[in-house]
Amino acid sequence: MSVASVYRGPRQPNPLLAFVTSSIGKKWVAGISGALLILFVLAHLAGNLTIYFGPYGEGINAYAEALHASPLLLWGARGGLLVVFLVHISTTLTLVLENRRARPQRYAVKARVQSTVFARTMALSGLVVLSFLIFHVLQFAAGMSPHSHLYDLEGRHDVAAMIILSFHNVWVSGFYLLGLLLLGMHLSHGISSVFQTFGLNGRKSARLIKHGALFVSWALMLGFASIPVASVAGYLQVLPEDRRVAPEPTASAQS
Amino acid sequence: MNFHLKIWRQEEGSGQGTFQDLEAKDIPSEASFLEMLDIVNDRLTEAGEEPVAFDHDCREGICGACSLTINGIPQGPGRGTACQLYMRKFNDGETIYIEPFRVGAFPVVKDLVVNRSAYDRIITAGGFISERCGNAQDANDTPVPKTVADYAMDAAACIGCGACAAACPNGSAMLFVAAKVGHLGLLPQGKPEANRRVRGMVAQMDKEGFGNCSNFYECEAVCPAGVPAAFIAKMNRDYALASARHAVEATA
Repeated sequence: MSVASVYRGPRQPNPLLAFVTSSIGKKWVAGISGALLILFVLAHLAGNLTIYFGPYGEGINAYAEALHASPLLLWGARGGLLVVFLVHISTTLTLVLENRRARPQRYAVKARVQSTVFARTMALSGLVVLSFLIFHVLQFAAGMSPHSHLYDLEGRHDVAAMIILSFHNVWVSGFYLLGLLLLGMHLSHGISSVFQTFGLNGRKSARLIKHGALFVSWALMLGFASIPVASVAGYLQVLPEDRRVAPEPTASAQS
Repeated sequence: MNFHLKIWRQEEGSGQGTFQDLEAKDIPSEASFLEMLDIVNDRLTEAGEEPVAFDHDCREGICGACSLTINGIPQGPGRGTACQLYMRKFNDGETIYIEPFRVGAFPVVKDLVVNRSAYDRIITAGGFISERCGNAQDANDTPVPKTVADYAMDAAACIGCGACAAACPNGSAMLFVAAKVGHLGLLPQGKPEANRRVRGMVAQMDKEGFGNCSNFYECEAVCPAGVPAAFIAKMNRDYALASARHAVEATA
């Protein structure tokens, strides 16, 4: 009696490697990294909105100080975020290049039946958001803004003044609104795509996910955009110059 | 009715082709799109010219042989195959572009005929049930809930015509593969092999050089069988779970 051999499917060297190099596996990697970035954007917005608490936007100064309380945690989070960004960008660009190769000859006439403009411009909106992001990090996080060396009444780094004064330059606030518009476009396809890629998009939930994703992404954008708009409109005020005091030598260093 | 046709002509074995301008005069409005091409071809043959090569078989919308992209829409405007499209849908005097399905994995054989054996090879990689069926069973011997049977039928409606890949800006075959994986995997007869089926078929799909899914849902919009893109979500899930299970079992 011989033991029947069980066919275990096509032979693959390493199951994990086979998964992440497959078409669907790459979508999962793009989806997981995208979902993490969406969570980051949500947390970022929650942090930004603290600018509306307290006089002269000092809610965000307290928030920033709390963030910088533990450098290890902060740099750990920044490092993790950078890795997630690099994974997301490299995976999605690989997908885009493969997709180009899969259709070597284009149609002379091509009608779009139901795909959205947001879906078709994901690579473009993503790359514009990336360039916006580089500007944003250099300006605010790396402290290259000319307004990044102010301190509030309690000797904290005056993040609110840095933000509001920067947005008084209409070119800066205009560029932010453009970047946010493209991020909104990117997310309105990205959020619903995460559900589709994770297999959570059923026949019943498809409409809810599609419209919910649009609502969430544009609500997020309005939340972010409110800050440059409120700065230019004068709703957000900075600490007047004559009340500002020089920081103590021992004041928490701005990073 | 009269039409101005711009038809893709490509010599067999050459990778290049061009559009040929052809006049389709005095076409009855009740003619199907393929019958219109038949009339044009008859006239070409009578004039001693080479007729336009195009794929067709049952002409009743169920075989999936037609493979025309009409005015940029695979299988033409509206639900259904090109053979079920009638000339009354077009305006008199309209210019109609007729192109083959343009997918890297579907090489053009001649004119409007493409080689869709890539889909057959994907089926060979797992799109079947290897159980011996024996004689026909008694009804309800294998209970299948009505909702599951209906859902499986939504996917089983796929006729494998290739319009999904042709409509996809990425040339992705996901809707076709998802339909096959979905309909077999939902039913008790197909469940035992569901994991190796989805892994095998996806591996073959990648090997054939089809693109990746970007969730455009153009496939769903042109599918003559109306297979919903929700099956792609189901396959994304099934593939991840099958791969995870395989990874665990490979170490055991």
